[in-house]
Amino acid sequence: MDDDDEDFEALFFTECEELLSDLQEHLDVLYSGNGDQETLNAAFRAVHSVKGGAAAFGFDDLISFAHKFESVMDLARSDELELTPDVCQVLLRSGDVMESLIEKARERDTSPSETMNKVLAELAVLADPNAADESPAEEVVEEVSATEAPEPEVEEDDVPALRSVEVHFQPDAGFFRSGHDALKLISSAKAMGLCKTVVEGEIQPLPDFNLDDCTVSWRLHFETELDNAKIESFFLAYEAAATWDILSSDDAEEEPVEVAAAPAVVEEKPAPAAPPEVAKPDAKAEAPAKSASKPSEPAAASSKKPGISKSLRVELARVDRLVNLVGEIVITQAALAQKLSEAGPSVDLEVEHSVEAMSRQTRDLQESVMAIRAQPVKSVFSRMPRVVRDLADKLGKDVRLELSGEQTEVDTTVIEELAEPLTHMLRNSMDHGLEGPEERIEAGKSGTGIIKLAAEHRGERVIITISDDGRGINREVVLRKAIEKGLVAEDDNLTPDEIDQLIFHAGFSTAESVSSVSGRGVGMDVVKRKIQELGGRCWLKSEPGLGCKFTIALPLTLAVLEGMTIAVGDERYILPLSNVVEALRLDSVELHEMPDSSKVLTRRGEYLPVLSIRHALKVTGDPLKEDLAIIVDTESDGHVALLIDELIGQRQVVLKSLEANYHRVDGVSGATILGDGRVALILDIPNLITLNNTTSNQIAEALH
Amino acid sequence: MSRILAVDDSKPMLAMLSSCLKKGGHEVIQAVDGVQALAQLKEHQPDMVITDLNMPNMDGLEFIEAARKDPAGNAVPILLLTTETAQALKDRAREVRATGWLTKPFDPDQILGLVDQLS
Repeated sequence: MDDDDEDFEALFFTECEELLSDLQEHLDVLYSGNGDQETLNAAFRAVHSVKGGAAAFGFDDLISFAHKFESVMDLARSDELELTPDVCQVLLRSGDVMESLIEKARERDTSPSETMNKVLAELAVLADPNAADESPAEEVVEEVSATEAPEPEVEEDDVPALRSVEVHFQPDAGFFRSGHDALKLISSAKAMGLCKTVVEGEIQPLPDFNLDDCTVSWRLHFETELDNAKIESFFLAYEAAATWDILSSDDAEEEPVEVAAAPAVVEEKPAPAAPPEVAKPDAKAEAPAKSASKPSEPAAASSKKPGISKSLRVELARVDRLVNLVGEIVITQAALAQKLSEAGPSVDLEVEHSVEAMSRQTRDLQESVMAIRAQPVKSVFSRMPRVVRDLADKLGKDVRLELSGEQTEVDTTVIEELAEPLTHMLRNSMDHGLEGPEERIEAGKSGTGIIKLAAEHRGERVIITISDDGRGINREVVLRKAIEKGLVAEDDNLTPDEIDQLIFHAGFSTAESVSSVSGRGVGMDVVKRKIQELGGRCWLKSEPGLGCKFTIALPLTLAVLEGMTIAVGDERYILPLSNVVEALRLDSVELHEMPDSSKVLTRRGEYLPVLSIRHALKVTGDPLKEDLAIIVDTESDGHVALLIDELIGQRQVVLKSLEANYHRVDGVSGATILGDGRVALILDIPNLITLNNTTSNQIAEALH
Repeated sequence: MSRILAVDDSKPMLAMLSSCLKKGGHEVIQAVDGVQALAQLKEHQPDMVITDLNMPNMDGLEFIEAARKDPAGNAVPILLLTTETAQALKDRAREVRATGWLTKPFDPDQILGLVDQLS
């Protein structure tokens, strides 16, 4: 029973999370003044549902608080209370308290909460003393998504051997009268491995058939991997109207035919035809409720009927497993294709076509699997208005947050990890970027600062931008700080843009006095690191006096990557295709040596810095050709030419984490397994280039 | 997907049961006592009924007894979901032709499994 309790409790808490996020959303809308009666109703229902669940588990604090909360909202519903911004603030705070109470309930923490009492007092003020305290409203939790299939017969690892089990099932005389349906019994049992049904006893001719007197019994023969306890629990559902014996013949495989007096052996392959068919006409007449749907329905016991539930809740682990398996298929498929191309023209054309088709299908499969993991960024974005509002209060600034592109979909893992850096960046913008109202008006801007949070797809990436219309980065201060901290030398002659990017430097914090808001000793470098961990990049553009714009570019998924395989010496590397602009033969372009011995390349009148991969990664092995250049886009530093020996081809690669299997290596974002089983490193181009300007040796050291 | 009539006088229990069933992809109709349940049964002709035992106005057993006399309830599976465990009550349930007996607190998976198995 304890287990059951916990299962259900977990369900309750999961549900609470959804309810809280709904509630938050609705309250935000109400606060913004755009809400209507339906918004209010929805918010009310969320609180009410939390209360309902809490009552079933006896979380007293939560029950009583939710009750008060709900009562106040009910007043608003009946127009006895006007939803002024102040009232909304109280409701929002109540939502927070409810969240913390749920957390406490989860932790079994029963200590009193001061905040709760404070907010309770506020609610009491709002509540009319003689207001009704019973919530009316028939409500139900709204969503119609499905939980995991009830008894999924998914065997992950070893598949146990099938056992033969025979069940002698003897219905009571009143079996058919107790809401049982023999046909349904048999079709459900099929899901458990029923393969043969033998009817015993005399089936009465139709005219004499008496529903009140069931005269037959069944011998149900199972070939199943389930143990007896499982089978027993299946039959427990018929406890009130039947008896049964489970005769498991673990070792003796016997045909059940021999027992029956006049056995009607029914192979359960095509459709279950059994005595219930006889009962059917009668039952139909008496039970119109069932007649419509049942007979036409395929005998699917536990399988979900398609097209009805719009969503299916699946454990992330299962999807991950699927993603991994598909990843393996991609690798195998690549290996197959490679073997085939090595075999040359001797291969049958049809085989070749099949492999091509398979490669297309594998890709489709992969995309479909990835789509399962995708989620709109809305789930993170929707938390941000609250962050901004709270902070605006604290800082005494007027801020309006504008969201756009909330429907943009990103991989689930990315979404989860995004909340923290986004929060941090918003705080940063509000604390450092936006001016106070007076200063803004003095500068000829509106008193209310605007922060825009936007997301969009751009090619293989998701671009998230946070832009404010504040004062921009104070380059003088940043540069002074950076020199003070020894991050740059005084005579470095940085461009304005380079100065701006300094705020991403580790240990850099410009907060003149460390404020409680963004200066927690951690700076934007933490944000940058987090984004990099997600395989993304971030940079900023600042216009003094006009504002600042942070951009985060993230990969759509962390699992696969469209890449270009290149050879340098004996090594193979993968360049993310999203970075590649074009490939050039060196004999067609000019290469110039600069005074500091670095090289540049001219392409259509444009000078591009040149980086030799061989040199940067200290690759050994011949032949030294370096007669190809790949022009890559670094996103933040423009185009750069990479010198390589050979271009092998374009392919999809499955990312394997270097961090998880080895350790993080700068300049490298991961590794993959090539078709021939070799491991190739995936280059993190912007990182590689940034590093190479200063410390190319470190990468080489890390690798060797 | 089945259409299920959930009957319980306790609103939280009713909400939780309903929520569990809905998550299983089922359509849920609710009633808070036997009288209402009987009316709902006739009106909506559910594929299955899950009812509490102790309820005001008309309790679960009385409801089943009445339902079995009605064409809409004659053959529909009706599960009792209750904290009671007394054998006398179980015998009575068998007498009025309840389809099955479940004890609270319930396991959502078990309920959904039974719905699939019986309805």
